[in-house]
Amino acid sequence: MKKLTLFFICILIAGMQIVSAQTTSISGTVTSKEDGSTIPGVSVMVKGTTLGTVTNIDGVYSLDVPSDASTLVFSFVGMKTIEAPISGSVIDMEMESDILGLDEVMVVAYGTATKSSFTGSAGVIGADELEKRAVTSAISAIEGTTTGVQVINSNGAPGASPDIIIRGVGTLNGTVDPLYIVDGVQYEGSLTNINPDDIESMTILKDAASTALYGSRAAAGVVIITTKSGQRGGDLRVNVTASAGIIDMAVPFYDYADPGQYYELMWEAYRNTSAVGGDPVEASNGIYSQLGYNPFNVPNDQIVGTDGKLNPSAQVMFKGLDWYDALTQNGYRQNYNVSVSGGQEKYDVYFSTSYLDEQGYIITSAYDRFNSRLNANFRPKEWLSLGGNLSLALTNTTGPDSGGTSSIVNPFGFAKNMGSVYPVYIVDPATGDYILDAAGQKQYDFGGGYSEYGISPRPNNPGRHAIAEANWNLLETKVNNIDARYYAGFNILPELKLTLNYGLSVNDYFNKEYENEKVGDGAPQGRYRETRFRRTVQNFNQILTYNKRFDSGHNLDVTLGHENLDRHYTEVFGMKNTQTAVGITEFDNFATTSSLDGYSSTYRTEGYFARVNYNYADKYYASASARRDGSSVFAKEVRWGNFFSVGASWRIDQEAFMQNVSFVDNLKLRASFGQVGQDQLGDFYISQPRYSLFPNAGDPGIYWSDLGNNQLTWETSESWDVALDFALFDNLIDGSIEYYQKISSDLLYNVPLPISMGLSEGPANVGTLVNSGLELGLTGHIFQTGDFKWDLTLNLSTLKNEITELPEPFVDGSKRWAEGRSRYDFFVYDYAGVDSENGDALYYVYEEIEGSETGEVQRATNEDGSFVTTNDYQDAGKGYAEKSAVPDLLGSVVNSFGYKGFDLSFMFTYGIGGYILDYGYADMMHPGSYGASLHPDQLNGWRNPGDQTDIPRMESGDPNLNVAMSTRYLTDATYFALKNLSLSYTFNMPAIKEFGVDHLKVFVNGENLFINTKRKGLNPQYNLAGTPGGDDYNPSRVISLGVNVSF
Amino acid sequence: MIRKINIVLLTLSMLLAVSCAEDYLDTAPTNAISAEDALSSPENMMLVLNGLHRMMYAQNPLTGATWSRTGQSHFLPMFDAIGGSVIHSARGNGWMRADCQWLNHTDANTTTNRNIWYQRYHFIASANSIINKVEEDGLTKDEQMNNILGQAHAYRAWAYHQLVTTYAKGYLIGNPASDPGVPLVFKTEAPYESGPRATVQEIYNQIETDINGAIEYLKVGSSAKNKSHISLNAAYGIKARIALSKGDWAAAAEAAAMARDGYDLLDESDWLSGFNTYDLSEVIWGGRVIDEETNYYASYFYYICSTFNGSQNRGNPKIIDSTLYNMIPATDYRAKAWLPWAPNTNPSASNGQGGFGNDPNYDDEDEFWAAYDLIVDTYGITTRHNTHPYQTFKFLQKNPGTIDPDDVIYMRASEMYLIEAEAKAMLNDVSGAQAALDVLGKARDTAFDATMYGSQEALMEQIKFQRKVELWGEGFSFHDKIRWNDVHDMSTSGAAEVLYQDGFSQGRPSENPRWVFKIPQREIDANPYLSEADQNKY
Repeated sequence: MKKLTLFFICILIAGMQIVSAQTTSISGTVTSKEDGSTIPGVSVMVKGTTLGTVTNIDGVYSLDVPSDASTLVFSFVGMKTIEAPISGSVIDMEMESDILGLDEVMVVAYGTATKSSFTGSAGVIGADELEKRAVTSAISAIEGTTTGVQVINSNGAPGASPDIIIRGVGTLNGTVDPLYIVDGVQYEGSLTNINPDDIESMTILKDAASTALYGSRAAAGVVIITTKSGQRGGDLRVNVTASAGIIDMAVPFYDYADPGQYYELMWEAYRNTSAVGGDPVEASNGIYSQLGYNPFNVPNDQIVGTDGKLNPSAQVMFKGLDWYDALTQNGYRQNYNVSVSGGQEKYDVYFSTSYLDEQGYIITSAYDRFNSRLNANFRPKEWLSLGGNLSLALTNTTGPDSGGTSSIVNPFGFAKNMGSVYPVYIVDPATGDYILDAAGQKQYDFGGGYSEYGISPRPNNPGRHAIAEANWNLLETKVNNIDARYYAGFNILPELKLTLNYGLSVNDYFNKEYENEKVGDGAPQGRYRETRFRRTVQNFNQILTYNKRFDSGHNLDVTLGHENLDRHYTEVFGMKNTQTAVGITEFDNFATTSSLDGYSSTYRTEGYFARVNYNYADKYYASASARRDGSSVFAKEVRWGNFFSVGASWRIDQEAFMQNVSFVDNLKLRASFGQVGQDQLGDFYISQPRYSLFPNAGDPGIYWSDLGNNQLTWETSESWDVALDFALFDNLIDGSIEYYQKISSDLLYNVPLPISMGLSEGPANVGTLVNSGLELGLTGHIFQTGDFKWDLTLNLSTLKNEITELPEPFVDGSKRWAEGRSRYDFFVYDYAGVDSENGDALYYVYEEIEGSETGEVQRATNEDGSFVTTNDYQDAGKGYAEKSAVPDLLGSVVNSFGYKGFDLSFMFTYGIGGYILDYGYADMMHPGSYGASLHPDQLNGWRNPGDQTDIPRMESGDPNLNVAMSTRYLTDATYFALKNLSLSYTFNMPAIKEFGVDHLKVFVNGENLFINTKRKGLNPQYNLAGTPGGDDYNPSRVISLGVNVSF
Repeated sequence: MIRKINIVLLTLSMLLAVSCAEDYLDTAPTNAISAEDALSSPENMMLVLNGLHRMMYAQNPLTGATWSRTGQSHFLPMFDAIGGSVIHSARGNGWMRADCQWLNHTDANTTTNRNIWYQRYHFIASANSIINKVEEDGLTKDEQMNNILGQAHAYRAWAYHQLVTTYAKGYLIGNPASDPGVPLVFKTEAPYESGPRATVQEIYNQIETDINGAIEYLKVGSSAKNKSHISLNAAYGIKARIALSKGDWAAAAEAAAMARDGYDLLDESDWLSGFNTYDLSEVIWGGRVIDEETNYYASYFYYICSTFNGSQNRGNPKIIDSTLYNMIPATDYRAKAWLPWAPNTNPSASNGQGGFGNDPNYDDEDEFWAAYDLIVDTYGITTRHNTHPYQTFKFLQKNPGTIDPDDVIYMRASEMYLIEAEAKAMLNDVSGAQAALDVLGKARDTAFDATMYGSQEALMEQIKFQRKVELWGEGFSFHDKIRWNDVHDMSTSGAAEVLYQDGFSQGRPSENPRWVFKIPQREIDANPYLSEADQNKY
């Protein structure tokens, strides 16, 4: 700290020593070339210096410039930048719009760049695009707008954010999440904490050349989020947006067999067991006692006839058999946002506050968020700028816990797996009517049996009721997020600038969970737990930039920096049981402590970095960067890593020989190569061999918990990238085509140990993965004239993933990692169809290929060349299905239309190819698990010798008849979705001006409107491994109406 | 110009000056201690042993393990589910149904299969670390260190014995010299490659070396702090079990007698008190489970105790083999621990006799419910609990009708009398066997007379009966059947075939390979010395 103080003092002294030169005064008005209107907020800078101002509301500026200054630079977002020689004291300027946005300034690592000078690969999403989206997390808006990005929508609960994967997964056990930088500082909180209305831009940095400056943290790509600042020039501008809408589900539930179908199928399953021995009379007599419930108006022993058919007079008389209906509710969303923005030459301020309230489509699920942000920038002296950004986000999330998808408290799985003959509420077995309680309310049927009503226990999850539990339990998470950003910039020399940035994020997390005393894990005493944590992240960096344009056409831009990050986390968890009074969810109300635990962790990094950007005559660009990073994750001897990158681009269209090629408006070739690192393996102490605390009946104790590895070091990702950016035919078409290859080596890998070593894994740097892909983005400005405008954008990306080095193959569930294979290649039991004689499920038998070093297997063959099959899947063994979870092609189609005040845009996203192992479906194709739901496809199963079908016979309890992890359930993952539709009308009438309103817009937005998949119920974007269980909160469909006013 | 350069140089040097201190990147966790420290002193080694004592009964915290496989809390009832002594009366909520059906241990990919292997080997790994550290550093072997080494060797012997009797063919029915056993691992260090399957004989040799070593250390070690520690008596008990399983009858008899020394058999009221605390006089070794370390629903009593308030018990009361029960003399107070007259209130009972009207024992509805109410009142079950003929009340919670934790008992003096009796019977020492049996028999049944069993055959039949009744629910039935080479036949037990399926009938262990657990796939996949060819084949 002492060092730091000294440093500040020196900087201040250095700054004050700069002597002002003699100046002259220049003023003028900036207008639009198209309609002659004045443009407020245009930046007017003295070329080669940091001196400048902005135009006021009337487009007027005035500026004192040094007497030796020669050129002024006028720039404005969406307009072509113009340089004008200083001649005289009045310089008026006309600006024209820049359809290509080549001079658009984009935020990049530790600075900004114009699109034309940028040598890396990045996608940018601006505020105008975000405005069209009714999204809670701005990350949702990345889908479909940037090539090479895969979006995972595994959780659609209110307040959840999707995950994005940039250019494939380049790790085996490390994090796949990109690094998020918010206003220059690493961000660790939930991305839903940031109000999308506060975001000015999001830059998705994809290649190593653009991310290398983040060194150790950038292997999975970087997303830079910049929040809005006050608009300089003009009056204060107030912007109010309000919207409200409805929420329902975007992915439908799976189909299920109706009660009649269910009874017929289960009759068959029961008849075919060894205990019944195929006797249809016993099956008809006994099937009821296996299932326990008879929802029909016929006697229990006459539900299914000895012919296996439902009694023709059977009618369903039970009420309340629809579990999905009990699981869902009407969701809604409302969002209000107010912002005030303004500024003058020496300062600008942006203030906003917003409130979002969402109720999800699943019972008890809800989210609300209160945001407030103050962003202020001050330029008190020529040599000093400073300011900061304070934001507050308070969120409150409630809703049922999926409790781990296989858990019994997961209401999604519970409802999905419940056979269609079981009622949600207690019904009278004689009449099918609800049996009401004393207060006249329906009562949940826990399935434990009610002898007083003659109700049997249900065979599926007896004594449990995840819907009742969701309603009676409490699961509430409150998070307070405080983010502060401070900076100070010192213009030491006209070319030399020092910037200090300090960021502090504090997350206070407060989770309450009550489990009721009536049913579930909290019964019979009731129990309550709280988890609280505080995460404090501090990020401090010092950046020195040198920027010089030489008259000879050489331009140089140098950045030097130092940075450190300190993340401290502290958690306490408590749990008590045995409640005193019902309805009090505080520890006081519970008598017995069952746990009280807490711990802290610290993670730190430090880095030094440098970057040089060079261009000659705005034609040839080159860039190089280097970073040296240290991480607390690794042992002292190996914790420092070096990373570097180089990039270059050539603006071919600027060459003299291109001047006669009239159909080319812009042509740029760029290439880059770089290295970045990764130290996130989900454990900040992974390199340390450890024994964890584990007391025995109050006596202190420890157990060997972590193998550690003091040689463990950085994962390295090397990537190269070549691209061509172009605009053709008088800007009718623009776009870029790009190819990359990313080689991730020294992968941090939890090497599976033989579990006979007493631990199951140990970390090591082994393995290499290669990701590569082709990305194409094309935009056609099909109509640009008159009142009607139409833009059409096509994005497509390919993904390829291959393991090129791994010491030993590793089987992980449905995947087997081995050299030459993708980490997402399915390695499963190989279903060979049904034996038409007896209805057995058959599996191809696999045997090791002789001489294969990696133990590769292949189908065994009979003497006649046919493949060997067996009805015992364990004997058959697993093999590669030659199918992968990675889609062949991902992309989007975006249409935007404008006509007078109307704007209409809609985005389709698609994935072509790749496979999903549909566990959600497989669960419903069981051969007769009493009480568990069945899929209607099961009706097409084998029944009699000679039947030709792919679905084996029903027989309760035979594990070979349904093997979920088999090729039988590999389903084409191709999908096509209407992701977003937005329609707005902007009032452009003089009348509204009279009311003092500058801008009035009404809009309707739809998110996740439609999805087409191979099977109803499937969420094709559930996870990268392609293994959805069908029992999680799927994405929501949101349709909202709103109005936006500014004055 | 010069001043400009100076400013630049000054700024650059300042930039370097903000470097962090050298130890900035040194961080340490708060919820763990370094492996080096863990073995750095006898006190810390004792902490490691305490961790193992906890792991004997607790939710498994290991990476890659499943928390619900709570050591002996899960494995004891699991072995009795496969072994057919603790009979499930209904489909219930599914816990251990697949064990009853012989679908779990016969599948290399199941959670139970993997976890029992993993947990046992974790004990071996920790024992190795302690034993090797003391040896390598030449640490002083004082009383405390002898205790530590004794327990470490005893745990290693116990764990290997558990493994070899579960994942390999029984010693007495196979060819130990050539039958594949389990990997023999002595070093817990890089490259962590484990080893090939040693023969059953090699494993037994190591087990015997360890348990004899343990006994020597514990003889000169400080005494056990409490019954969760392995005392000298417990070590003798482990030795007796080992010797019994390999037919080393004399050693078994001798060690069993040493083990029970000082542990008085329970009297009637203690025996009927519910086996919920290791404070009972005859408990030699057990785990104490306190509120703060509860296993919730993954506890021993969840699987074994009829009063526990979980859906496992409410909808699936556990019953005893009715044929076995009917052999218990009226004078034997243990008969009170099961209720043959309990009404079958569960309409979903797998035997199809659930609910009044279906239960052949009752034709008067009032009597049916009166019997039920009597059970509710007597044992403190809730009215949501079902009852079933032959239902167990051997295990009773300290707080019936709750989910509060109760202790887990691993070893009792009764077992030791039965080991001694069996070993002597197998030695054809009829009077010796009778003498051992008589002590236990008389303690349970006032009319007991061991002299009625005058031949080896009659003695063995009686000993089997006694073991099945006395040790019901304590995890012995599966391995007992292997040792006795008995068929698994549930047809006269009261178990429902529709529920038990494959677990209803299985041939003798000597002929039927399905008595041997599959080696976890996870081990075969990661162990360079093992391939599919090393898997136990059916």
